[in-house]
Amino acid sequence: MLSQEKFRVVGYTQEEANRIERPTISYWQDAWRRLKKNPVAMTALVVLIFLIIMVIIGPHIRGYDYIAMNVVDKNQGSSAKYWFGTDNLGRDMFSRIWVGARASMLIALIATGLKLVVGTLYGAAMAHFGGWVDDILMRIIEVLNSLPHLLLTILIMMVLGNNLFALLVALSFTAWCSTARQTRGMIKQLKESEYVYAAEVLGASPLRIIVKHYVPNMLSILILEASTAIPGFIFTEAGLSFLGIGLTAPEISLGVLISQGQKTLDFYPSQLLYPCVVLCVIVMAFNLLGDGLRDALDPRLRQ
Amino acid sequence: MHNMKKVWALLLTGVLAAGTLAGCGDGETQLATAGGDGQVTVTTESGSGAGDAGDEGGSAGADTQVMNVRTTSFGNNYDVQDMGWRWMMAACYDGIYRNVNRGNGEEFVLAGAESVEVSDDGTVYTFHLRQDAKWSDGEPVTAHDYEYGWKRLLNPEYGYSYASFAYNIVGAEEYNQGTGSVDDVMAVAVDDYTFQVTLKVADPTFEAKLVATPLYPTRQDIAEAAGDQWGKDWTLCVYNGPFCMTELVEDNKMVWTKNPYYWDAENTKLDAINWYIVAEDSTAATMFDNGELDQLQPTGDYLAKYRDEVDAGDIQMVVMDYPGTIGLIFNSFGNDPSGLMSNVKIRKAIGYCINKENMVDAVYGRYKPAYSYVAPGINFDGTSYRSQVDEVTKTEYEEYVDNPEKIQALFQEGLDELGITTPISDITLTYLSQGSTNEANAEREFLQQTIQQNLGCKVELNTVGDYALFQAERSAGNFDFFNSGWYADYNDPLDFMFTFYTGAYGDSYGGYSNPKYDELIDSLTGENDMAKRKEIYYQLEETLMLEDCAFVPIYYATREVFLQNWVKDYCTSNFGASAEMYITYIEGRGH
Amino acid sequence: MAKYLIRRFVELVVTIFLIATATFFLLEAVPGDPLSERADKLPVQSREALYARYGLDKPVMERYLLTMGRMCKGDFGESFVYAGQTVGGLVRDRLPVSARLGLQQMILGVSVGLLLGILAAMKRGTIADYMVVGFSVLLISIPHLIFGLMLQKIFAGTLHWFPTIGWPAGKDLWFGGWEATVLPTLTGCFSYIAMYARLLKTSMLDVINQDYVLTAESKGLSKGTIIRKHILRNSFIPVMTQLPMSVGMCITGSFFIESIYSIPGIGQYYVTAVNNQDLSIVLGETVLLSILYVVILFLTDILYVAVDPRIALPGSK
Repeated sequence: MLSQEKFRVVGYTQEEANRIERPTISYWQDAWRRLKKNPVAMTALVVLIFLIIMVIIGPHIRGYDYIAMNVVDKNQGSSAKYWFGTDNLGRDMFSRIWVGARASMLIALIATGLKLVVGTLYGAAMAHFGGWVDDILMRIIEVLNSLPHLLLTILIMMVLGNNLFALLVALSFTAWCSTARQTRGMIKQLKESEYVYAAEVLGASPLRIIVKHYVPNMLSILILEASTAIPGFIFTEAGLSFLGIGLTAPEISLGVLISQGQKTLDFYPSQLLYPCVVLCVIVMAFNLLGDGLRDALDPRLRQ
Repeated sequence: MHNMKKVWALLLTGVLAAGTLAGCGDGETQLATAGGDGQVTVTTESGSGAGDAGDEGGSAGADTQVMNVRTTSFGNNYDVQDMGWRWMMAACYDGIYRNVNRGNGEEFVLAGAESVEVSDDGTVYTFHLRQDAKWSDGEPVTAHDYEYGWKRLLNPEYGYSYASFAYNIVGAEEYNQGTGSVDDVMAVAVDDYTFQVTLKVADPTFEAKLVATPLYPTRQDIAEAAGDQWGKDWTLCVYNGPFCMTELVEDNKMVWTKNPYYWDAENTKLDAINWYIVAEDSTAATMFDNGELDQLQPTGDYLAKYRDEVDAGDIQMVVMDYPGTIGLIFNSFGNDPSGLMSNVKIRKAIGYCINKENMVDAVYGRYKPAYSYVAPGINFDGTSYRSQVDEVTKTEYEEYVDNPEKIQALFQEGLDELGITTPISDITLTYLSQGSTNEANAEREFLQQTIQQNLGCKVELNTVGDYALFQAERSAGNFDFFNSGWYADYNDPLDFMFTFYTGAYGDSYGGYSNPKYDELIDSLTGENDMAKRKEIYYQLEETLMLEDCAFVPIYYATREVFLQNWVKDYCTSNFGASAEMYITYIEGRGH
Repeated sequence: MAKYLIRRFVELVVTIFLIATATFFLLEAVPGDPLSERADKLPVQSREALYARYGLDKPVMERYLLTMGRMCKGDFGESFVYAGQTVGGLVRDRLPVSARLGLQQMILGVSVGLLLGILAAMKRGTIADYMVVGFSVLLISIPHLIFGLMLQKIFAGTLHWFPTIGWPAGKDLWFGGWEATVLPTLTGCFSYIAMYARLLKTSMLDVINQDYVLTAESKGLSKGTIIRKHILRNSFIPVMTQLPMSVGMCITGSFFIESIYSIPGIGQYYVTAVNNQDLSIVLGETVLLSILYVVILFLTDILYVAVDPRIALPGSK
């Protein structure tokens, strides 16, 4: 028979009961902590940082101009003088590749930025206004999506000319649609969620709700969008170069270099190999980092 | 799991439905009946070509008389009067003359006619047609077919682009412009085998135009029966040339087989010619190396590779001048962005700072550096025009080239004449070009770099993707100079010269206009004295390039054709079919 | 259901109209026209005749109305660039070719991709997982054109295992002539492998952490049963969403492959037509593809209902 006497208090205070053993960590700290534990994602991050440094300083390392030709040294292989060899007009491939990679990354980053900003605003507008505004905005997205992307891209480039601005417009012209849809869905869902409702009932200001609830929930989605969009844009740009669309000489991107290298594949494979490897590494790094981020940002995987 | 079954069932239904649709389509399609093996080239160890088409013909020895040739596009125009697709039509049709190059220059060979009589004043041509010439349906080729073809060309209703080829015929221009009647056109069938043409004035270039397909015969009954579809649907055509088109799969393959009714069929040795669309040079090289192709016209680095193989005796090569000249054309509209193009010294400085030998070597790896407009591929009075007449800019070019100080001084002189005080380094020239092939890129970057280095000014590239955009930029005047030239339609220097005649080709030639030049061209009309004509041609070239420097020649086109060793008697033709393969045969392929 | 179908149909008609209009005016906005290149090398007096022949001498609005009028009758007109080519001929001759190529790529790519996806999800965090991820990224990082040319060089050029170019026609159009289809199919299937491996892996990982999977595990069900009955079935919805899109894409997405292997399909033709500003063909093909897209979206909705009873047809509640 159990009785009160058989139990004894061994030490208990109100404070102890309420004490939190581990320090509180925010969502972002936690995400970062989990990302750090993922060796693959961290490697990808380090590689990306290295690549970003290289596209900034890379073209200056060897001291060769990426445009000035030197026909005497054309089509050379790798050597101490030209680390990655030279192209058909005798230009240093090492410098050209980093200039090209810089253009590719910049294009991808800006296009991704455009996609996210336009997409979020558009999506927020749809979710906020709802009703017929939502219907019309949705119809526009549907028409844009049913037009073949290649058609739009080629036509935009034809109308605006072959330049960086046109390329950015062409790349992001339909890309924002998916972001807009996601944002719309997310905000609609958040509006209905219990914790936003609770916050409202507790008298939280709309600003507080946006900052504390909408933004963090959206951010993780947007970061994921960005990490898949960037390599996507790098690719699309490279693909367009094969169709002769995009940057024109003397401007170069990795896509331009690869499509030029492809023509001489049978004779000077290095002119194709090096830009291809750099492209692969960039795309792979972004993808692996994206995978890592997905795991790290997923609240359900929080331990 | 049963839901998955539904999914697969749906997918399968889709596939089947699509299959049924395609099945229906098959019944209507005019495509290949040879079956799948007709599509797939055989790739055994011995690397045989697609040998399926030649089985029915009488083959010489052990070799199937089939040529496998690469091309990058089909012309899809079977109307001879349209000349949309010269190299196909000249092989499948036959005119009064054929144009053959058996290795010692372009020659006119009588084909559809047995003899030609020209009146003493050079205005009346009487063609005595060959009586054994037949169409591929067995009907004879008569003077009425020529008359119909020529009058069809002039019929204003059809709006044929090359109608002007026949304008010198009495009544022709009037009929084509809608002011005359077809009955007044003096191109008539005197009897079934005599065709007579009366010209307004004697014209030594007239016979050269007879090689071009617009002046080929056309069967009235066939063309009229085809109606709208004439020239569009190849299955409705009849042929009077050495070959007939027998199979066409767009973007893939085309087969010509020997025309048994051709008047010279017994000397036509090939049973079939297979044309394959091969988009990538690398693929074509693979196929040529495998023996799947018998002929190849490579570009870029492949040229060097195959030249080495020629030296080793593994393959053969045919090189010839092609009647085309490419160079820089300046903006003569007066709306050039730099505002400098009105000055001839500035134009010359730009032209002379380009080392053409280096450029041809570094950028193209083929072609010949050009110092004048008319290409060596053009004949005059029997021999190459260029072997008779000096290249007008060569002496001056050699004084300036590779001498940047002298060129810059010339440029500065030009600036002074215009009263421009801007330092050269602050001047920007705009170069308009199109295309994104490696060669096009190398070309524009080479020019940009060369001009920048030698003149010390900046060159801005205005690069567009395709020809329509190029034309739009050109019309808008967004250029100081652009890259263009001319590929001749008929074998006479006049064809080149006429391009810079005021307004003749709209703004295609930079808006060049010089009354002196126009007068010189006008003075050629009716001029029958060859020595005099030659003199005028020389003056035209001098005016155009030395006095006015409206055009800076860069290269004369050439063609380098590589052939397997078993291809014999391969003849080219610059104004007829690209290759006159009715003479060619195969010997030693071994199957 | 009937109401749903009617709504869908009206939407389709409106969308097609908007798309055709947008395509027409986009092409109009491009400088130049389909005849520029031909006209440029002609003497001036011949140019007018050429434009009149193709009706391009009329004002824009008149041509727009004419085009739309003809389109309603299902007639898109004739190609400006390739004499005698029509949209009807394109559907008859080229669509089956592209469809077979696309479907072969897709069937191979999706099945391998799904298998790899399952492997990566089940062996999460192991070498196998990283190999699948690395492999798929690597494969999609190599442009189709280069990949195709390399396959061609090795398997057709050096080893002579397969034909260099070509595609089955005639009686072999759908089944047969397989050897010619191997290299093009291989070239194209890798993008599907990469896409579906990643897609299925991600969605399986989502499902694995669900309570009902834990429940199934604690009930002591075998691993195979759990994967088949619980994980796979539930992680198939994103795949279901993507699959119809892929069917639409696979028909047009093979531009480079068609070009390298000289395959007479519509992908290659479409790009050429757009570049040539060949209005009638571009308009016809765009409308065709849009209808395909909308029909596929419609099928997707129906598929959802078939796969997941919890989902109802939009607008049919």
